[in-house]
Amino acid sequence: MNPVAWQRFLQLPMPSRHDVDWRHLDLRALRLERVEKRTQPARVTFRGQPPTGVIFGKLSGHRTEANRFLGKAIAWENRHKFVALHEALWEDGAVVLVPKNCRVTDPLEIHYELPNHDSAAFPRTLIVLEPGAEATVVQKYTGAPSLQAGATELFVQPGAHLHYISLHQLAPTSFDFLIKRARVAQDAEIDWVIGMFGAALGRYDIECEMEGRGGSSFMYGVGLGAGQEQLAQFTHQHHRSGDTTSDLLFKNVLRDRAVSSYTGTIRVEKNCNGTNAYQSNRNLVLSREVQCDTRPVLEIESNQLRCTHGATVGRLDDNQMFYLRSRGLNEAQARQILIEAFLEPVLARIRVDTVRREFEELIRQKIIR
Amino acid sequence: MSTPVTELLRSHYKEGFHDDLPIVRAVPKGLKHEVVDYISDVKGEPDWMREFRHRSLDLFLKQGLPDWLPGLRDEIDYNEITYYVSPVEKPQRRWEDVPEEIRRTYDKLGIAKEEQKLLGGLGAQIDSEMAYHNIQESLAKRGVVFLSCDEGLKQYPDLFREYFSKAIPPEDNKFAALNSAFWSGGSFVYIPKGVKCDIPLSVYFRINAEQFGQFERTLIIVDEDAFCHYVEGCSAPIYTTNSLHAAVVEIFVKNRARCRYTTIQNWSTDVYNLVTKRAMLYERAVMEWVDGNLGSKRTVKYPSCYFLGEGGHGEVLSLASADRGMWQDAGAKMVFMAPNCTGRINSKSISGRTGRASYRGLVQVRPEATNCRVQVNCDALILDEQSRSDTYPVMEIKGDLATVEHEASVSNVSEEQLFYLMSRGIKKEDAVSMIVNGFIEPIVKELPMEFAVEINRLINLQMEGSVG
Amino acid sequence: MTDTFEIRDLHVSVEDKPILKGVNLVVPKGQVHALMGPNGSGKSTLANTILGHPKYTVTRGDIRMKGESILEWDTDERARRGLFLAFQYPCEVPGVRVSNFLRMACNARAGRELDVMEFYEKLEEKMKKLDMDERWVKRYLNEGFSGGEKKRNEILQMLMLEPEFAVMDETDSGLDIDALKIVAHGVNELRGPNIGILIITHYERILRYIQPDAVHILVDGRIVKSGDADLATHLEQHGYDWITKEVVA
Repeated sequence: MNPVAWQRFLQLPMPSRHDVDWRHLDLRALRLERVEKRTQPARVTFRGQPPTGVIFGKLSGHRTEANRFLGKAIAWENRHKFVALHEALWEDGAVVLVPKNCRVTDPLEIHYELPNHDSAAFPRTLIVLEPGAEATVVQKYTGAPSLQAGATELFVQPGAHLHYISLHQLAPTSFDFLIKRARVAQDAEIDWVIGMFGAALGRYDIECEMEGRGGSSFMYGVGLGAGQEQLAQFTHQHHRSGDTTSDLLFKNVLRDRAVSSYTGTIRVEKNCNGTNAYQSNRNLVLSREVQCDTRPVLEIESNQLRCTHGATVGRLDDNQMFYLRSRGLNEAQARQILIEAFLEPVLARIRVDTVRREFEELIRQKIIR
Repeated sequence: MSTPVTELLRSHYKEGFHDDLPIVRAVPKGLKHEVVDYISDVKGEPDWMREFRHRSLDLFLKQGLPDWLPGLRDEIDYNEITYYVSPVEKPQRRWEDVPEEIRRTYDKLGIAKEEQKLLGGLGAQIDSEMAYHNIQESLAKRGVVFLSCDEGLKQYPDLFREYFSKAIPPEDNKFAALNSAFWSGGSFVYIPKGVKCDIPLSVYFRINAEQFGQFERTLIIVDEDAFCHYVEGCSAPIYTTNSLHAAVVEIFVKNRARCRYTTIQNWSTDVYNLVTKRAMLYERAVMEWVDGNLGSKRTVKYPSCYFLGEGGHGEVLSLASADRGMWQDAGAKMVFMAPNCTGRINSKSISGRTGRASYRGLVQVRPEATNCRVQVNCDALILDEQSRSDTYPVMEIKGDLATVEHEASVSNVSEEQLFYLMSRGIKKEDAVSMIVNGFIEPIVKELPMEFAVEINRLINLQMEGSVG
Repeated sequence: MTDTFEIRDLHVSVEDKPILKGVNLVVPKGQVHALMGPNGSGKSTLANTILGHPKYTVTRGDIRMKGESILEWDTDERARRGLFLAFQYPCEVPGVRVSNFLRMACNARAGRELDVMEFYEKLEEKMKKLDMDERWVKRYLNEGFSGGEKKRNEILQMLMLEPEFAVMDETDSGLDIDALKIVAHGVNELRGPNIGILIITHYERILRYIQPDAVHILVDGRIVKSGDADLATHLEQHGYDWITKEVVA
């Protein structure tokens, strides 16, 4: 246990609705008293056949190699309460380390099966692609813990290419807090697809730091909320170097009494000319009981750049519904087509067919039913 | 003591002079309940207003700043500010009756000439009080009321009390509380049912005193089916100390009525401009805010539309230009509480020479506000590497029956555009100014002619030497 | 020769990559020359260099107008002295009305404030020639213009500014036959002893409507062949392949 982080966790007040970041979010159902006693490691399984030289396995088995990177992407000190909690209590997790110029063709899958009710898990993941390396990494989180507070650190070194897919699907009673931060070096590229498919409250901090010229980060996310689920997304596109590109599209579909809150920041530092930064958050609302908030933020200190953002909240288009029904589709079919069409731009980014089908199936079960 | 920077600013800012005016009334500096009593005594106010002021001062002292608002926490020393200064005895209805020194000030600002123009009414406030306030006979005959706010309280006590502080109570925010405690001057406007007041009512606010707080209060009631266009401008001298301008503007647009409120804010970079402006829209009412911010050290102002009745329409056209020494923190707020309303926010900002322009906005759709639609567009132009632009919109939507769209972009004067214009023989400075003026054109064209000319002049001044 | 537009051994680089590798070309006043070449041969580089686009660096050679080198002149000065470029992709300048822009440009070219009435009379006359209605000038510069409208707008500017030497960069591309005829009509209108015109094009089509006095072929940054109008027809029938082969050989 990291006692400093634990102290920080204890000191930070429980987030409340007065806190700008947590407005419309309700944490009252979360019982923290028993967390420390009930910590259980997640069962982690690995699939995929990496070539020799690639490190792929439990973090505890590769601490020497991992130590160079751990904590270098995520500085926990100025983060919210549950990042401090993760930092205090994490013990193990998974690591992928692809050496220089190594191309991993087979997708590498890390599956965390989280323990069930009345328990808490704190998995830590480290993914490093050394210069010129290429890999596809799939992360899955399933189960029904009371609480998960996890973190994934990603390093995409010069010229490396990472396709990173992450799927989160916990029980509607679970509280899920995950932070993922990528450091993207010169001419490196990361293609993200994040699926946020369920939790009593899921908070996902997805961040990239553009550190070298020619680097790019394509961040795609799909979030679903049903029942009384709460979905909070915080994205950060931080340009510290010029001639970098970040593009973000987060699409959410909300039904029943779901609550969603998106906060996305593009920050361009001084002397970052040649930056291209785009951000788009689109929300499809299927019920009158839904609460949907969106806050797209730009902070720009360079002037030779292209930067746009957009956010929308809307329902299914009446004209499109009418058109499809005039062709003989019933209401449910028409809705299904339109919802799938809405999410298609995100799903199209998944380059692993089996995972894409898994995403589609979850969407059908959860939203279309 | 003047520094090179103030010199430079002064050369650009022709309103930066100050005059030594004889002071008729003033209070010692500092936040004191005695000052509240003094103001109330001088104005001969009813007890309810005196109590309201005292309560507001207590609220101000208790209240913190909202956590979403950066800065301002230790910047202003409220005890160094003078809360009431008046170089005039009372507002005059004839320009010739305004004291000569003050007329000279207004001559230099070009306000005297305004008088001759086709205005429905003109008001001129200097420091805490209105020096002049008059309305065209024809409008007065149709029942249009255009008075200083203090006169409004005296002459229409019931109407005044019915609406005063109902849109913006002192609890609303710290600066509204400050205004509520020390308010003086501003306008009271009533447009009777069905009266279309096509010619603008115009008011000019001048700060002349140093380390001073101006707290005008404006209350506008546009009754059913009526129309009103209210235009305000302002300026202040350049000192090396700071002044404070914390106005409150409350507007009630009744059923099917329409109100347009145009502001050309051109304070000197000594002035903290912390203003609360809010319109309440009844059934099918239309409210249009045209908000131009070209001066001040820091502006914090988000003109708001609260949709209380079905079918209302609100617009905010916001134009901000942040030059050296300025932080324009402007934007808009729309709160939908009734069905079938529409809103549009269009913001354009320019930042140059270390200036900072921030758009801050809130769109809130409450569950009962079905079938509402709102569209937000924010475009920012950054002229150089030293300047900064931010966009901080918040959208909170309950339910599935609203459509909310927000689009924003940040750009610069592109090399291609410059090359294209220059290839037609246009000089670089002219080409840049052409592109910048083109950028703000969609908002400028909504302004009355003379204001549009003034804006273009000010923007061109700010552009001078800002592009290498 | 004083009344000529002359390019001498011109070498131009973009971001240190050489594009033009020694171009020689003389367009006397009163003549229309065509410059043809395959994609990527450097045609647009030449056009942009003539007007001094900051992205293009002249590494060797000279461009001379009426015997005087223009390389030291800023873009706007070149224009005021009578050079004109009809852009291949004219850019949009939102919020700037065509009429205001044209007036400013005409004043700059004339070096004095032109009489407003006179200006508008001339504008109206030229617009009529190009089949434009009066709503046109109230629009914002190129904003929301179709490809053909942008091209016509370029020709309008050319007619208004009355240049001494004009370069038309692929003005014909993306035009339908009717628009092409209007544009050609505009150019023929301007043609005469007081102007030299260089038409840059990929296709021979426009040259059916504007008869060139000479045709030059640009391949890989050099003019590899010059001839009369027949050369263009030959190119149209046989493509660029034979000429590249000839050059390699």
